[in-house]
Amino acid sequence: MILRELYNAYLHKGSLLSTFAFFALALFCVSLTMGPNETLLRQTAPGLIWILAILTIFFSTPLLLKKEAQCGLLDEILLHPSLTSTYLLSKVTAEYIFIGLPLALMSFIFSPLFTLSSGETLALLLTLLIGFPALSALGILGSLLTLNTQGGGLLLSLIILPLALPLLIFGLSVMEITRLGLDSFPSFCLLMGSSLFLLILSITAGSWALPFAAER
Amino acid sequence: MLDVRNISFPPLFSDLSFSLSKQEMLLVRGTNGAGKSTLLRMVAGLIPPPPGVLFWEGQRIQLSTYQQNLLYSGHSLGLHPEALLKDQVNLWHYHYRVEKKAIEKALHIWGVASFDNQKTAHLSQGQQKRLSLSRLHWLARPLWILDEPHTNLDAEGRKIFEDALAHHLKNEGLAILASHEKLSGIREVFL
Repeated sequence: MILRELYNAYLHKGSLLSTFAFFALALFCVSLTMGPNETLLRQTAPGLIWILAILTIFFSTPLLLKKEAQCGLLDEILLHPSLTSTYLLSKVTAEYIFIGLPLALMSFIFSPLFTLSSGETLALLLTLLIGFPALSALGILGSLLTLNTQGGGLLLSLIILPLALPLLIFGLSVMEITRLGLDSFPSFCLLMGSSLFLLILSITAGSWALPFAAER
Repeated sequence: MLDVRNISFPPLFSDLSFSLSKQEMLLVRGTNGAGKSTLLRMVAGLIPPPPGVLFWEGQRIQLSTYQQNLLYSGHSLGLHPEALLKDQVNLWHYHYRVEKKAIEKALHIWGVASFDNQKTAHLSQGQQKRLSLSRLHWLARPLWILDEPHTNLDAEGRKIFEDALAHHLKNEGLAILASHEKLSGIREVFL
């Protein structure tokens, strides 16, 4: 199943490129509009990058899943002997590799635009890498819940965005503590804990939602 | 071998029962919107049936085990929207763990093997249907559940399908077909 999902994500490479282009352009434009004030840039950068990452994932995942559902690929998944949770975990893994890692890498590359120090850049990279599995899983859950609805994008934001807040809060607290030069390990643990909890919650809820999403 | 007892999906159909033995075929007929596809999806377990409705080999079904006996082909063809034909073959290979050679052989039979480097979404409706139905040749399952299998097929495609179906039934297979067309000499359920 994991091989299938990796190959499936690879086949979406065209759509993924536009996702990366959106993220890169958004980061670039935000850094330009903030002006040359270095302190302001450093203070606001983590929040802006996190919010952009969340929005990018929450808007790209439903598009990919909707295409697959319309073609009847979810029926194939339901008829497969593997558990639906195995499918969802495989999908999260594939999204992590094909979307999460490139987005984290792009944040790393664009961090000089926000005059982040090397310590802050590393912390940002780690928070994103820890947060992306849960973000992907939440994005998939939201997509499944809104697949057969009109205006699914708005509904998805209303249902799923609040669930992503713990990641945002703990991710940003790591960044703030790093900026102040304090020990950020406890905050990292909180971020990892919330990421793991949301991952499990999303996979469980997604397994329940999948048969309903495939019903058209 | 397959028993369906008092299956209901109000308001489309209620208390519908039928059974199917080896080498038997059932045609589900009805007008548009009569519930043919819904019935087939329920029999395939894609719409979870209530307990005590489906029986396979005399036993109440355990859904994931039962589903390993069936080949379902619905309205959506199950072709990846971004895949070239060769990518689709790879995807099936990973999903069903079937040898690529077996799939490629089936594509030759269905006359679509030469579109190797074309996007499946760019093929004609009939070619896409042929590609989707090629699984009849490479996925060995005793129970076929096929929703409107003749749609978009030309005379040659229909002939390939009829031959595959005859071969399947001869080899102790079972088949449930949904159609709004009448096919002669086949047991029917009319919705």
